[in-house]
Amino acid sequence: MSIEIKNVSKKYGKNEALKDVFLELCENRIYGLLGRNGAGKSTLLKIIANRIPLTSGEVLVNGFDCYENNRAQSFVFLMNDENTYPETMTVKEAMYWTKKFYPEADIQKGERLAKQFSLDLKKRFRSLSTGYRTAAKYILAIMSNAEYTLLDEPVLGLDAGHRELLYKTLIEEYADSQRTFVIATHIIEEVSNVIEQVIVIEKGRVIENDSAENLMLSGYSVSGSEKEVDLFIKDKNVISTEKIGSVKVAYILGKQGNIGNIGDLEIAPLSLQKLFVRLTEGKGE
Amino acid sequence: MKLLNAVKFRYIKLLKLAAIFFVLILVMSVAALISGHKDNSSFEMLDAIYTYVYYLLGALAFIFGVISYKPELKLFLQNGISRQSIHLSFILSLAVNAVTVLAAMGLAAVFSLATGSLNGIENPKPIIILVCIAAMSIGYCLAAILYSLKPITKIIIVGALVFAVLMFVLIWIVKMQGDPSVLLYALYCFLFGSVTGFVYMGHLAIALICVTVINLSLSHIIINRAEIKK
Repeated sequence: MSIEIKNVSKKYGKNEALKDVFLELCENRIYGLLGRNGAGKSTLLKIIANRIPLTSGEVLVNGFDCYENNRAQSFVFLMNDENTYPETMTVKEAMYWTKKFYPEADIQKGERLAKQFSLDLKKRFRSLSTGYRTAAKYILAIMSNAEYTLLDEPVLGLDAGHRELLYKTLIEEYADSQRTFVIATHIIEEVSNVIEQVIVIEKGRVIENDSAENLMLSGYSVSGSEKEVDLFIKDKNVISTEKIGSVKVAYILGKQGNIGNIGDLEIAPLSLQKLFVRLTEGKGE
Repeated sequence: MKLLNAVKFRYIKLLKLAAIFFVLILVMSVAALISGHKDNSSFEMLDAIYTYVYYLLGALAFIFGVISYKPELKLFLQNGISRQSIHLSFILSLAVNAVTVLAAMGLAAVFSLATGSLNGIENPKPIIILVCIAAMSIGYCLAAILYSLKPITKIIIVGALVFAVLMFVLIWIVKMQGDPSVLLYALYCFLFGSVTGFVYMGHLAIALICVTVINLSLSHIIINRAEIKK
């Protein structure tokens, strides 16, 4: 059981939003779909969720073609920034209808989450602030119990407290269920503690698809005095460096093993953000 | 299951709109009764209300069609319903809505009997069901066209239509040196009967069915390409 994305391309006129994308989204995993603005993350999720047609290729959800197929779409729920709920609809009504269209949905779960987010279920969508609208859509996504839940920029407009709550409830839901979550975001630092598998999209192509653990072990950072750091990085594959006061930090691609004597330098795992920047810019020193 | 729930959603929406309609008729009736009580003109007023209730029904149906496209397209796509099913749910709701129209006619008949006014309901014309279905389909198709077009295209099309109508009337006046209302009368006679003014229900029914089929077909083509706009 998986979502198979086979040779998918999407063109808007001459602009190629996606090009020859091959992916498989397996069950019971949390994926991070990372990419810069305009990379193609939202386009890919919309194709899976039947919001837009693809130009070529195919997407199969549990073996069913995703396009214009109620059966396939019953496994998928997309949360994004589009205002798809009528402005006059209350959150409670939205929950009711979500349950109607997704029979596995759990309204009580939705009500519990709404309480945690301090969301008034009687409020209509038009009277919700941006943050609460995002929270409402996230709650509907979680309560849907859809096998593949796609979250496109799920923290849009949320304050710090609600963002933390979102990630906490997401992990709890993942631990309790057999669901697959795909989080598309460019706020990598926050999501790096949540995701298991990282997919990086750049200019419509998948340039990386690996576990978060492997990716973070593919490099490391070294910090210390400028002189010592410069000496250390002489023969290394450096992604970038930065200086904070008298301390210099260098981000290096390569395994940590056999790095020799480090003296007073400090070694730390490479952050996903730094790696992402490296992958999408390809710059080094 | 998704299709049935989509039809249910549409029907609940119609019932809410119909409730507004019935309340409106009730308020108008009560107002007529109160205001005409002193000089006994209340029954005449009620006659007028119930004579025009069919026009109100048609307008209601058109409005329902217009408001049935965009919100439902977004909500149903959000909830994993295919475009084919969205369109089919509208067609199915047309049939279900016909029942509501009958109920509206029945209720209006009850009102008129209760108030002693019968003229408007003397010949409750079943054709009103087809009129409402056609009006709904026109509203729906119009909403589909407007939603799918870019703003500049909308302006061009509306402008072109208005220009075409004005040019046609102008040519008629200049060439025929006649009254523009002759055009409307000729159209009326063609659709509804001869110059005697007798309405051929058969002609009207065929025209309404054709209008409905054309609009539903056109909206089907449009919805197959529909995407949610920001």
